[in-house]
Amino acid sequence: MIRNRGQIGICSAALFILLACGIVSTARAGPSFALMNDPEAAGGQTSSGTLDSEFDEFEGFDEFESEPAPPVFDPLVGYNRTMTRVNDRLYFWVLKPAAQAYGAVLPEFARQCFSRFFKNLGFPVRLVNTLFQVKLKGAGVETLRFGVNSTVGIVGFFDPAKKWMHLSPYEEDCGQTLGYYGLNGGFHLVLPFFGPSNLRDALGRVPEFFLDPVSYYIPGAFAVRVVNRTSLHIGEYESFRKDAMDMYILFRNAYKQNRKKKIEE
Amino acid sequence: MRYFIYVWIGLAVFACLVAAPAMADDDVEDVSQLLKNKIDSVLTVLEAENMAEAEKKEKIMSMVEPLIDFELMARLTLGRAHWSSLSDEQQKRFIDLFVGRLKASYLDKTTFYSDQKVIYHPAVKRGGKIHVPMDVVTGEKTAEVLYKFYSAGEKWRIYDVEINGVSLIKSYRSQFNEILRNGTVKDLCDELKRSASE
Repeated sequence: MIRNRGQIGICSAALFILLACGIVSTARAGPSFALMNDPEAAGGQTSSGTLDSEFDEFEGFDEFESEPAPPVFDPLVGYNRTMTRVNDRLYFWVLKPAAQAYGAVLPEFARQCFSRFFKNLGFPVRLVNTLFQVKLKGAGVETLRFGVNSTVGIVGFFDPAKKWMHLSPYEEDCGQTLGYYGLNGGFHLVLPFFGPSNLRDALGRVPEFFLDPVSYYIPGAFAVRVVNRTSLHIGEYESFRKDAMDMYILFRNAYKQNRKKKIEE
Repeated sequence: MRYFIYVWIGLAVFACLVAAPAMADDDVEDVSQLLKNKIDSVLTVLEAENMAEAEKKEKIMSMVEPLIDFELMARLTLGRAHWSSLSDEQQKRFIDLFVGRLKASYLDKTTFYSDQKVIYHPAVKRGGKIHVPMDVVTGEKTAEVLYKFYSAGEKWRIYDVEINGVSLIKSYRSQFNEILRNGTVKDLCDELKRSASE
């Protein structure tokens, strides 16, 4: 009798574990179940020939329908639009010509080395923010990368950690950390020179300034970093801007989407 | 003994439940393979040496056109409310203009970089859609690109692309909303036409 009960116990325990696994996997596979239970969502898109009303064409694409129905809260819209234009002019009149002249003097190989050097110096910002977000693996990777690249990589001119050890940097900044703790971005704010931002991320720049050896401890290095970086990315801003129907709205929306993704990662 | 039978039946039923979604993953595999083949052939055309730029563009467009549902993208960008407020003629005009713009922009972006390398990540199912994430590496730069597919009958087609988290549909949509908040559909079409001719 007791033995029998024991067997039942073992079997029900096994069943329970299976059930638990099943619930987890169905929860993960949720979308495909939802699709099976919702013939309309599946049928509405199957072929355009069967569409009766316009409504069906949007069925199943709620990811967009829920998006920006209420107007975006943007109290500084006038200032923001002006600053967007100012930054745009700054790029074409000052930064781009400077970067092109700089690029004409220094070969790309050297500029890439500088780029990696500056990137390596961004280590304190990334380390602090991985730690604050309890991304311990990220903190470990960052520390290892800094150690390897500062030594084997000759003060960061090369990136052997990525090339040989396949360790990519963890791009975490203070704005993302604040977002990680649930702080919303607040209203959009276009910073002079730095470009699109919001209240939270602009605040995040303050501790970053002190954590960043380039802006804080090495005078003049900041300008070199910006020009160096721009020289390696000429054409990208132009190409992005070219698609704009309303440049300010495009930048504002793209900034929001990009930050959301980065905070979720 | 009877308990064992119950338990075994229970297990069998469960195994089926767990296995069902796993079997549907064939689609996910197919879609990633389809996209991979397509991108490979686009890259081959891009790298071809004895071909004029215009010819390359034409060839690439004819290759990707069956895969990308430009018209659906146009409708999704305008959104249900705005779309249903348009007359048939306005809808047609809008689609013509916007699809033309999307195609031009796609070709522009595709041909901008020469040597691209693509690192594919496993595709995932999201609410009946299939998302195929990848890293597009050009030199030292990496862009995270996500192609989103929906099931169009027999085929799977692309309805949106995200680059570094920025959805093409959403970013156009926010601009359309702004233009339509202060203006009319005619303004929107004029703007599309104006910026296309620049």
